[in-house]
Amino acid sequence: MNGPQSSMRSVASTLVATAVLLLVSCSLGTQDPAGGFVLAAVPKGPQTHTVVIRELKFQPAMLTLKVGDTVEWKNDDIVPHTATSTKPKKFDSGILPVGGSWKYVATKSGTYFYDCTLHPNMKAKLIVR
Amino acid sequence: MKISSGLVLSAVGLLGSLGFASETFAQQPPSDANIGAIVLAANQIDIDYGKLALTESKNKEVLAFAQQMVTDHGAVQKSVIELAGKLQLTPVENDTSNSLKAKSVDVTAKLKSLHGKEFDKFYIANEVAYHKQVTDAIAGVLIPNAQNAELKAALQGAQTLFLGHLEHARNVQATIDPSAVRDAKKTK
Repeated sequence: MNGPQSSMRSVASTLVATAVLLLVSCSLGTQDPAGGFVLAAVPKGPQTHTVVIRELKFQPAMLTLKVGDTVEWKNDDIVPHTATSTKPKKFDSGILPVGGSWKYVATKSGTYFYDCTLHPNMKAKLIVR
Repeated sequence: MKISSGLVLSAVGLLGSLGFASETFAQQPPSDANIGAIVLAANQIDIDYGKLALTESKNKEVLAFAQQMVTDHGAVQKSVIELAGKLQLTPVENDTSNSLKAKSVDVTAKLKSLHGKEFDKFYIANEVAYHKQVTDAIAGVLIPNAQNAELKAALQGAQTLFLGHLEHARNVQATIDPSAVRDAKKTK
């Protein structure tokens, strides 16, 4: 049974299987430069946005995002800070030490003014759509 | 009410002659080396008030504020020392830095004589007045006279930080001693 014909058949079926796999891959997405597989046709999921705190400023001072997106504040300054919403009161990072970070998932649309409770002259806002 | 107004008045009285007045510089504007000594003295004084408050106060907000002053002014102190090293600037004591230190001796004695809520009220009233004096001096005297661009930029950064402290101190005062805030508004 293990003659040349059966060998050929096995090679052929392997080739077919590979081709099918390749076709499935191509129809669903593309290869990214690192060789990983990226789905192209599926809409983007929730995003993560970064607000850097440096030299007593929230950068960017105004950030627009979508419900479900995440905001991450990173304290790159030389002193501790907070990111605390004032109007409406919705989130409070508590004290972020130097080098610390904190994440918040936006759950409701609206405009959120926030400041640093330790240095209330640092003001910024999030616009959640 | 009477006690708190009295405390505020005495805090203002003590601070009124801090030595930051611009006439001090009428004849001789401060050099960069003088500015270095003034900033180091001003920072150290507030660190020391903060340390005193950490040992004396029982109020959560006052303790948090005092800890912040020790941390923030400590960070500024470190960066001023680093900048002075980089610029090869040796701080030179002067009338203003010496006057600041002399006046802080009086404020410290007053702080040590008070306890409980009276301590908290005086400490915060002093922090409001002290940060107001220091930020007025940085904007009116130190920044305009700073010659080195990096020193000027550092002073501008410190100014933003200290203005934040001033606003925070006023917020704490509004919580722990609302009558003092009302009195201050009346006298404006």
